[in-house]
Amino acid sequence: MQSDPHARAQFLIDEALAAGIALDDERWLDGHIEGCAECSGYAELTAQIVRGLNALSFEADPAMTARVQDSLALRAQPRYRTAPAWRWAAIAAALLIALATPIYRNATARRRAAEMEREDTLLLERVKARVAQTLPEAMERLVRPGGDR
Amino acid sequence: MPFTEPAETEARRIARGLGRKDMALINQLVERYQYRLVRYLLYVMASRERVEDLVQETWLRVLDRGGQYDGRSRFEAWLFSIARNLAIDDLRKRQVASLDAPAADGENEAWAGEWTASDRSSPFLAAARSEDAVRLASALSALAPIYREALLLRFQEDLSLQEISGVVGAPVATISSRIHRGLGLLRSRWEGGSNAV
Repeated sequence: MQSDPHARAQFLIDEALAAGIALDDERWLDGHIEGCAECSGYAELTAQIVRGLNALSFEADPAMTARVQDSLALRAQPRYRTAPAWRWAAIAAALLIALATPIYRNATARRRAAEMEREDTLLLERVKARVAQTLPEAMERLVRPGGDR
Repeated sequence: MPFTEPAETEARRIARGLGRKDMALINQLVERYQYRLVRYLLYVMASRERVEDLVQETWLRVLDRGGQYDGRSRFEAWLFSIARNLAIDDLRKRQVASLDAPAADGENEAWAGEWTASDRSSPFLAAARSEDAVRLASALSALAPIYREALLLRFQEDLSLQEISGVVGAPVATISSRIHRGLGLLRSRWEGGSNAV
């Protein structure tokens, strides 16, 4: 609490405007202002400033309101957003797998068939070679001219 | 049946409508509060630049987050708090000092220079309609935004100190201090201007 009555009065003048003051303080202030030109001038200047603030008139673009309302209407519409990139990547990967799997399986099957055929061929050749190796000896006894007669 | 004040009922009605994303209600709110929202942002930004973008972002956020408004406070207090947060984010992106930097006298005077609008661009000067208003507008342009904001919300929006505290996120005592300080700065600049004549 200010001991200086003028400081107290000027504080109460501002406080009355900012937050309101108690009835006792208001009565004291009224009495002080009535007899103090300095504080009376302070009160009048402060009131003039507050009136001046309320007198400032800003121009608001009326078209701005319409633009804002258009933006709000757009935002409020049900969203048909394009899926995020990761979803497209996942879909593409799934399609790729779906297409590639039969191709891979087909290729694998063909490779296995070719391998089996190759193995069969090798086996046959080995058998032929073996036969070619052992048959002459056996047949020679049979076909030797005048051999066993 | 308990008596409910019209203002409380209105706020609850707005809260219910925002929760349902009632577009008719939202458009009414835009028409009713647009001027005050623009004025608030002009006071904070001290420039028309970016104000329209911030106005639009504010209303979009009202639409998106309408469910968060519970109707316990006046709608304009919630609206200004959204606008304030967007303005602060915008100022930070442009690497300007915070609105809520400590209120040491010397610092605020220095920051006031950051947001001082030149006479040509000051929205306050553009709003002045008399010689006294011009003098006041010059003084207002030179204030730090935290003081302009407090003065606007108290004297033009007629919010209580508690409501302003909710908008700004500062204690009531701080708001009171800013109003006192803001009035003092305007008085000294006003008198300084009249003495200079």
